[in-house]
Amino acid sequence: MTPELPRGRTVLTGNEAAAVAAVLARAQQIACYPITPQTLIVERLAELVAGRDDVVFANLDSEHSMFGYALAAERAGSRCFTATSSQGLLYSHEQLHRASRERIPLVAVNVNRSIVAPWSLEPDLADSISQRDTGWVQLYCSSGQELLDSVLCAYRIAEEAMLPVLVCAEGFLISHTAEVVDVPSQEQVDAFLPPFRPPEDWLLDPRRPRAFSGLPEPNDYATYQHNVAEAHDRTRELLAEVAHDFAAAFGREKVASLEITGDRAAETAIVTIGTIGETARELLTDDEPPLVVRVHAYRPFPADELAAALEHVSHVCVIDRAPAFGAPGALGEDVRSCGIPATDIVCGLGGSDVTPETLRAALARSRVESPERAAVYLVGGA
Amino acid sequence: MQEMLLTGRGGEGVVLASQILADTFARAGYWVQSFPEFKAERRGAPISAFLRWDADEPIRRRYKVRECDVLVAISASPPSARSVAMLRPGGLLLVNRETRFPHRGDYRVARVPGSQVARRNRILSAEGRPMGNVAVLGAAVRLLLPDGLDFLEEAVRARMGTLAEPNVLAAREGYRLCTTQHTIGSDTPYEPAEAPPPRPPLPPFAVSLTDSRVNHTGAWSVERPVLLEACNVCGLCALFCPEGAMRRVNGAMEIDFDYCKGCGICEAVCPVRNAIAMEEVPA
Repeated sequence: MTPELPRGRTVLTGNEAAAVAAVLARAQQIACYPITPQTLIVERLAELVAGRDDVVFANLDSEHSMFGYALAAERAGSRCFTATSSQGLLYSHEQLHRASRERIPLVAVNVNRSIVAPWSLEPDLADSISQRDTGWVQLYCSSGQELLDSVLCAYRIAEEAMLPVLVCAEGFLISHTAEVVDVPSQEQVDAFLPPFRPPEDWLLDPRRPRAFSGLPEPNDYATYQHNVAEAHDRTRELLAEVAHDFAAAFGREKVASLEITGDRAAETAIVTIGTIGETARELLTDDEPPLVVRVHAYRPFPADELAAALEHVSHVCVIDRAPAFGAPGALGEDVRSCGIPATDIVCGLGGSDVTPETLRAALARSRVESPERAAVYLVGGA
Repeated sequence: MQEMLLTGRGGEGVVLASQILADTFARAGYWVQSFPEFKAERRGAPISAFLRWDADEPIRRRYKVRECDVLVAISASPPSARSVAMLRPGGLLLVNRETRFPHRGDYRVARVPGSQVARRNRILSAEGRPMGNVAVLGAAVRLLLPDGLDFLEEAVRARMGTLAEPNVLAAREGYRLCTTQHTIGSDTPYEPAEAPPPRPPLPPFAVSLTDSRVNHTGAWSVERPVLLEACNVCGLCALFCPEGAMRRVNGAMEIDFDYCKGCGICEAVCPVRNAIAMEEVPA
């Protein structure tokens, strides 16, 4: 018997919310390989689609095969879902590049987990941040609700832009956290997300055999890369459009690219990503509260919007939750590339706790560091 | 916002208990957040789970609970000094035991015979141990959400499938049998937990400085094999033992309990009737 989907105001873990979203999105093929802390997504999906003959649940032999399967299934016209974490995402690296360059509108959830060595099951963002140049749209969530909502939006974004979308959520902090999640009805989701109808020329069609991604002339190869870059540029507007449609369809606000909280006239801003953006809100009741900017859409990077948000701010502190060796942290580098001088603080690695005290220490440190310095690491329980 | 720490051991349903209680508070209209802290993913290892609830606002903070208003010890053994030290002054400690819990500190104590309730309702683990988690939740609801027993029952039914009915009874009994201790003033001087010794400096490479053989992983076991007279010393158990903890010495099998984790593979592969039996390791 296929279990019923939860509905309305309910208590779900982030992993359950992701699984429910994939079912509500009417994913036709689900490609699976388990890895902590993502495993509960595919376990729950297996239960939710058991006995359904309109969904293919494929157990693969590795994450590399899993992404390969999903790309091919999309080409054959199926809406697909997959999920992984950490080493699994890294093992899929070459498939990730292929997905964007083949313009595959796949949606995958990455439950962020730090990278070996040494081993850790705990979260930081190094796994997906290090995939930033693979051409995937990357959305970073800060709650189970945002994870569910973002998976639904991701299908709209992917299929309209013909780009793959990676929806990221920190392990344990979201994946294993049970909280109140509002689950929309199937009718609401169907009205928001039309069936998958990719362009005919792009589809695999046995009646019309053609070469896919064959060897083009060098200049043509360059043009295809340029096309991916242009698709990303167009996606900035699409993100806002989909968020607007989402709010209209579900009666709930949806962050498009940036979530900006606090006073835009504040002297100081914290720019961060993921759950740290939620914790940072606790600083809004401090004596000199910072402007809190949470990056939800990391690729395409919302450069213009960020520059506008920080227009009146004189001091910018970027909090990165991923290391970048021999260079500033990735988010710090991106903020600086907008022409904004910013101190980059790296913290929260391997699941080390980021509390309001950590962020106050980061702010204090950022005031005495040169913004030219690559990055400052807060470690050892700072 | 209130914060709770739930403690116990892997396999006792501590994480599930935190989720059921989160669900209970949510059904009563609260905003909730519950999450586990896994140190090692194995049965019997110490496990914590956290719960936050708030009547008015969604809970946004995303970090571990450092101090708590309520400490719930799911295990029948008393909570560690470290857990108790996390209780805020005036906080509440709920323990799974029948007899009075001796305490000294600025916190209230309540108790519930959770394991006995579980045993009566035949809520047992695969090894036959009572699973007192839901009975303890009954007591927690009595103390924190006195009108919430119906919500707890709904949450148990929603999350426990075929195990729901005996657990609903356990929840009701836990609710009924919860007793609060009369708080005695601090006539016994409160001794704070000793501070842990300073950590040695971190080695430059992530390689342990000690020989792995000093980790006596046999301490993890909840059961262990006993060799019986019928053993003909064929040695098949030694071949299959994943820990290399069995060997043939002077014409008899010998078990190294420093490393035997009590997995029971030896008993499963033994071709001789009544040659190996598994017994519970005394606490």
